[in-house]
Amino acid sequence: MTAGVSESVRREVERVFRRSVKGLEYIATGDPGVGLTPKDTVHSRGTLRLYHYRVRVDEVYRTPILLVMSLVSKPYILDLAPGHSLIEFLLDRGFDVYMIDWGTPRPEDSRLRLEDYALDFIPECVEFVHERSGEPDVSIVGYCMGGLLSALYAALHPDASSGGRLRNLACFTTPVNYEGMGLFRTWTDPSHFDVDRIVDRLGNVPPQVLYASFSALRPASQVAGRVRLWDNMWNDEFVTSYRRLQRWAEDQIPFPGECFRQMTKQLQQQNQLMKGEFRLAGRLVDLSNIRVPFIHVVAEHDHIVPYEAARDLIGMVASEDKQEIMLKGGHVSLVAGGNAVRRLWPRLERWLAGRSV
Amino acid sequence: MADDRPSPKPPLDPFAAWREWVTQSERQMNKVFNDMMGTEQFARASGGWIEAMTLFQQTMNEGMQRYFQAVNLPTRNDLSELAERLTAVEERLLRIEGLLAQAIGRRGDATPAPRPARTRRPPTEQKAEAPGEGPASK
Repeated sequence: MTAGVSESVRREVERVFRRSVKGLEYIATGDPGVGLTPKDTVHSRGTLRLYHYRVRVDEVYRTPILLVMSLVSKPYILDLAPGHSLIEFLLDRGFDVYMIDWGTPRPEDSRLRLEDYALDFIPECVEFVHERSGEPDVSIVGYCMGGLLSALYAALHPDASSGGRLRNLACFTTPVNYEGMGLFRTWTDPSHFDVDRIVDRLGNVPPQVLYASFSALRPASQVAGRVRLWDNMWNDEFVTSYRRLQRWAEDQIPFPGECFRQMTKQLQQQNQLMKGEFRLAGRLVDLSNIRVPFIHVVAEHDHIVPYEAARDLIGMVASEDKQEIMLKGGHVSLVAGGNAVRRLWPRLERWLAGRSV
Repeated sequence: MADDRPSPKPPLDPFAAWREWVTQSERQMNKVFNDMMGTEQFARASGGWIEAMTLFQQTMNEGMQRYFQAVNLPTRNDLSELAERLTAVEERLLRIEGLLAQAIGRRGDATPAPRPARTRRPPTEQKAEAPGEGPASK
C-alpha cells in the first residue's frame, strides 16, 4: 500500500517536469491536422462539396453511405485523425463512403431555407452518389442537425422499395421535440427573443453567437477542461485529442439566416414538427412516411440535444425495422474520441453491414 | 438501452481525490449557472444584450458601407451581389451539365470512381445485426 502511494507520488513528480516541457511544446506547435482521409470532390455547388472517400479495400458492401453533417459545425469531427476517424473506420470495414460538407455560408447564403437542404441539395447529392457508384440506393447517416435534415429528406422522398433512393437511415442525436431543448428553448422564447430583428439586421447568425450559446450550456466545463489539460499535459495522446476536439468546438461557422429564422420560429418556438404541422415548400412533413430500416443513436449525457428532445423520433418513424440505442457519452463524444471508437462505431458497422448487401 | 460495460478499475492514485473534486465542482457549477440561466430574468437580459449587439453590428455595417461608398470602393453588399450573380451562373451551368449528362448518360465533373467489387458480405464470425435482430426495438 505504502509502496503503491510512493510510486504514485514519484510518478506525479515526474509528470510535473514533463508538464513543463510539454507545456512549452503545446504553446509552440500549431493545431494538429484534421480531415486527412484521402477523398475526391465529386460535386460542388456554392459552398457545398460532395466528397467521395477513396476506397481502401478490394471488396465493398453494395450500398454506399452518404454522411450528412449539421449546419452549425464543420464536418471534420467525423474525420479527426488517422485512428480517430469514423470515416476511416467505415472505409476499413468495407463501406463506400460519401459526405456532404455544407461549407462556410457566405453572406448571400442567408436566404437558404430548410427546403433548399431537404428538397434540393440532399436529393441532388443522392443522385450524384447513385450515378458515381452505379447503385440504385444509398444509406444516409446524419449527425445532430444533419440527422434532422436527413429525416426531413426521408419523409419527403419515397424509399428504395417505392422506387426512391433511400435504403437505410441512421440518425445520431436528432432533435424533434423542441420542448425538450432546455435552455435553448428558454432563451429563444418569443417574448424576449426577436429572431426577425436578428436575421434582418445580420443576415447569417455569426459563429461567435453560436459558440457563446453552446459554451453557456456548460460554463464551468471550459475552466475544468483547461485544468484537465494541464493535469494531462504529460500525456501526448490526451493533449493531441484535446486540441483536435477543442479546435473543432471553436471552429464554428455562421448559420444561414433564413434557416435560423425558420428553425427558431417553427421548430423551437412553435414545435411544429412534433405537432405534425411542419411544412416545407407547402408539403406537410410527416415522419411516418419514413419506412426504411432506421436507427436513432442518442447519448446518455447529451447536454446540447437532451434525450427529452430526441426520444420521440423513434415513435414518429413508421419503419418496421427500427431501433433506438442509448450509448454512454455526450453530444460530441458519441461520434468522436475513445468513447465513440469503443461504442458507436462498431454498433453502426454491425447495423449497416447486414443492411448494405 | 444503455451501454453499461464497466470501465477497468484505475490504479491507486492519491491525486484521484483532487481530480474527483474538479469533476464534482464542474458539475455543481454548471448546475448553478444553468439554474440561473434558465430564469425569465436571464433570458430577458440575454435578449436585451443580443438586441444591443445586433444594433451595434448593424450600425457598424451601415457606417462602413457609407465609408466605402465615399472612397469609391466596393462594399460587402456589392461583393455579395456579385457572388450571388456568380452563384446563379454556376447553377445555370450545373443545369446545363445535368442535361448534357442525361444526354450522354453520365454526370459532368464526377470522374469515374474506382469500381471495387460491391459483393462484400458481413463477416460470419462477427455476426451482423440483420434486419429484425437488433436490440429491442422501441
